[in-house]
Amino acid sequence: MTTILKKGAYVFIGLFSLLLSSCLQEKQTSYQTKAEEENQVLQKVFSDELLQSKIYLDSLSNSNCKEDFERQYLGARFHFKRAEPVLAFVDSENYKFLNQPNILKVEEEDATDIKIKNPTGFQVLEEEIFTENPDFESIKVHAKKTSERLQLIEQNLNFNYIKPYHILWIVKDQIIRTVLTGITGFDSPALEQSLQEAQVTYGAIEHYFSIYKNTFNDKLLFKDWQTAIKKAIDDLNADFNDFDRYSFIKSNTHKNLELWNKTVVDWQVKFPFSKAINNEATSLFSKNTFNLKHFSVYNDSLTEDKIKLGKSLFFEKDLSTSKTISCATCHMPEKGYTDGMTIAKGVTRNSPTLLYAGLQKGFFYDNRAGSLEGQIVSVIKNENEFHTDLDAFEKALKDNPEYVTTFKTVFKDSIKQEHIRHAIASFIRSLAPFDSKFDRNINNLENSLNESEINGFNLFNGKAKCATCHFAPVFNGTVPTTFKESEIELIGVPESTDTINAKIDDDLGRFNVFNTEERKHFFKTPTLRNIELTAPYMHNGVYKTLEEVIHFYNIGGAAGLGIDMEFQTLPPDPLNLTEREKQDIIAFLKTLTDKPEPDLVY
Amino acid sequence: MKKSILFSFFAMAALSSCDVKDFFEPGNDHGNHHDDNKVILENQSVTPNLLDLKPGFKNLKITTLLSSEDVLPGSPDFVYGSMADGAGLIKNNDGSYTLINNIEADYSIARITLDETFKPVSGEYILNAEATARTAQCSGSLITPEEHGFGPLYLSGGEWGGSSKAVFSVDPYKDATDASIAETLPALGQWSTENAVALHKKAFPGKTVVLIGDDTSDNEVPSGQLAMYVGNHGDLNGGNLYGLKVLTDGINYEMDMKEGMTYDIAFEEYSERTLNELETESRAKGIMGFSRVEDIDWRRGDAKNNREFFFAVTGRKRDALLGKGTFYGRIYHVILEKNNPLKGTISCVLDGDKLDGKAKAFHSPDNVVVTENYVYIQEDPNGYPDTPGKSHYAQLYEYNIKSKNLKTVLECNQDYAASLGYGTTDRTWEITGMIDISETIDVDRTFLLITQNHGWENPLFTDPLANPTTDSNEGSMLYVVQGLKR
Repeated sequence: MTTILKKGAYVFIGLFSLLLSSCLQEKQTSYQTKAEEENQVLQKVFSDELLQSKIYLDSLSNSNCKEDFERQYLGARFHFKRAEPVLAFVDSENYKFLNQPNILKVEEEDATDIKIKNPTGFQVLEEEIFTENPDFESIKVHAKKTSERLQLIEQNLNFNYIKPYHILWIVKDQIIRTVLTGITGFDSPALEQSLQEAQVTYGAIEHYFSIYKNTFNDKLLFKDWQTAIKKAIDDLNADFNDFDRYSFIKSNTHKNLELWNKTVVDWQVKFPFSKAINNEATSLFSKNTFNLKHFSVYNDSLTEDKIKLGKSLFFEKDLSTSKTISCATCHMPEKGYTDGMTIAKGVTRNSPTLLYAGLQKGFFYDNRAGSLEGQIVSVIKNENEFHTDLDAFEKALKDNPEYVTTFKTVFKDSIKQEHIRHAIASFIRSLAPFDSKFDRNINNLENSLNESEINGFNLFNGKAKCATCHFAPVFNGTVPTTFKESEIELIGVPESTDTINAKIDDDLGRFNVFNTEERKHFFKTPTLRNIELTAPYMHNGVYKTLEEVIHFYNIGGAAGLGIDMEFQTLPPDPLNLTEREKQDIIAFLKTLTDKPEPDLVY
Repeated sequence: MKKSILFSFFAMAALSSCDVKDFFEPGNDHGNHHDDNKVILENQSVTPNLLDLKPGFKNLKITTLLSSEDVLPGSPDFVYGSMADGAGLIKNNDGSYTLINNIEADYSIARITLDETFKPVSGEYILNAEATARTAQCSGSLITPEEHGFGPLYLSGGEWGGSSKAVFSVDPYKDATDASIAETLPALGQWSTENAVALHKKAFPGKTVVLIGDDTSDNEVPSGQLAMYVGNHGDLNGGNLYGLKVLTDGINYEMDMKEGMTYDIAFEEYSERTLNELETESRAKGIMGFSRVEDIDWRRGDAKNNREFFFAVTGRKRDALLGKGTFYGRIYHVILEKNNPLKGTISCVLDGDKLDGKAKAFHSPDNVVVTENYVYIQEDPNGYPDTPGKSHYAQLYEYNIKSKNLKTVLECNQDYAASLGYGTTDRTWEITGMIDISETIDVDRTFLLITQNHGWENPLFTDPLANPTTDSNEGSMLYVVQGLKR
């Protein structure tokens, strides 16, 4: 990993701020245009940002001193960020490419189709430039690849299809992106200039609204946006480590979402569908935040009777060959749907929580299943778990007239395997109450968080870098804002708590799925909600307390234990958290415990 | 006129089984070969023929044209790169020929010039990996003034690897010094694009209709759509985009459609153009998801024929896809209404999942070429030969549209190839890129066919001008197959 020279860097961040302030002071042109021309203006504005960014990158290829490299990079990055809201929508794949982390990219389509690629783009440039001894040749190669990509995008734009609701989606995605990934330091690993970058993207949003000014029926609403954006930009004037993210979400993000919903009414737009986050959501921490259809292959909604049936099946012991176990044997509601054991009975890994499990795109610790329904099949077939099959499952239920009737009511069909797994999966999808002390506070339903808990949240999303993998609001590895992928990481969990002769745990994790060498010891990033109830921790249950877990991260994971893992994705540098800070983070984590459901059948 | 000529030709061919053989006897003037035609079809590559003809097709004539180990006299540094795929052939005014050919695993497109005798003389890259953002160029198709009323233009599907999941549009005569500049057609939408194929101008006069195949593979629910772009004649930017929806009640997944049955379809308009949103919109609108749409081709002949097309769904095998998406592959036949490209019918004509059916040998059909009376189906086995019938190397099939009979034409002879050092027997090759060149070179019943010889590797099999940092070094082979019926 790179050593970061922050002192030197700060001089040039000054340049970034200069660009920013000149841009914010610049009087926004007032566009008196017809609707179809607005799209052309937007396309032109966007295209200009891409070209500006490209010009800086191309000069970077001709630079030959470190200061020059830094200056050109900051200019390129500035215009890339100005383009970000639109780019992330109109070309999400290329946006992801340009902003990818500096980590080997492994795509495992099939056992016969595995592609491993070296990363490139802005984050790679940032890490390679802002380091002690930059490799100029390597930087030039990355600058060229990045510039080429910007060119390909810029030369192939067609905004004809863009309608006012797309503009609103672009704005909403950016408000969410800013808070869930932007201000956490997710994409500015070396410079930590995330807050300035968030100011840039807010500035870009203001610019878009000025282009679509005539779409506002209520001109005061347009003014409200200007005020709201100015407030956000002002609030972002802070130091990365000291920034109060909790207050920012309450007084900016959520307020922006309310304003956004008013704009939907004012612009009289209709959305063809909801994306991962519901169009109507005004909070990111509510049970109405997520569009559950996005996380399910089924088009039908999560109905009460389906959930109820799934719940009975979940607790049904007749389904196992021995008639002694049910899903709840290893996923006990009172333990946050885990079992409290180091390793669950008969299997090789720690029993994960099922709370919020539905809000993922990969299942099992190694992501080997792509849906809850698919996961259920494997659990049932596993000879160390249910050791049965769906046919036997089906038979056990068909002997019970009550089930026959319920399936008929719920599915308008006889008892079938696909209905069984879908019902259980539906129950699990319903286990996302967003009713913890933290949720209630951030949603202004109560005011009971103490300073330590709030500080813990701010550290979690800032200095401690937890949120660069455990993304709010689920605090799992399903990446905002598209929520298309659940990430796996190599943090290097040891086999025991022995720190003198620490050894990597022998579970190879994701490697076992396709035998990809570069995927040894990779495990999925789980949710941290209800973590107070789900000890012990890690895939092998090696840590009994949160203190042990925080210590492990604070020293840089495996690297800090002296275990050398070539592909470790957790930054190996120590976090330098104070004792107080560690306690604050733990205090925050304990505010993520949901109120127990009142009607649980144990 | 043309139709009646063809008809009498087939009637004649049916008279005697010796006809096909006589057709290629030395001294015979290569069928309909005109007197002034200078084309000479003979082996051009140093690589031997590695295809094995099946009974009933022993009289086909196969000649080699080009392989990754050949050196062309006009461009000794040019390498026919890794995983050649979609192709289009044009006859030039000076009598020479231009072959545009996707080089899939080098993320690039090559242009090969053949002289008037159809001997490859030089090659170059007109779109390189830099231009395509390292996105694999899969199937391809030509738009020509003769067939479409505008062009020429070569369309290519940007599918996997890079991030530009779009339809690429290339001027076949573009300057090779501009190989790093690409043009895409955003109005056709962002997909894991396998191919984009424009229908003949006679199909819907005044309109340009382009079909787009989405090769998205999903482990839970089939998610590959068959999209259609409709614009005014010659306009590839200002038109609308639609997705194929099956209207018949109870048909929610492709596997709900049974082989031989016909179902009503409509093409429903999309408001979105971006990758994620098109997928979400497809689900929200009930647009049919197939288990990886591969190649598409339309039927030759009169305007009525031109409104028909066939497409291959290659399949994917996963527990969760059982009963929803095909495992071993299917061929679908779509017939569009006269005057309205947005309505029609679909039928699955060949179902590889019917293990006792006529397509029981199917192991991932991938590419199709359609003539007036036949569909030629090329395989790219996905690696699960679960029955004895499916345990073979990649095969080429002939499907008779009228009689609905399916025959196996040839198979990659990988045992023989491996004995000569051309790859191994444990990596199955793909047959692909087949096009009917009979009319272009004026020699009837003549086709180009490509094999991707997975496992035949050499570090020299990627042209640095295509991709300086190679990801794949597997060799490709280009053949001419003569004698297949049209």
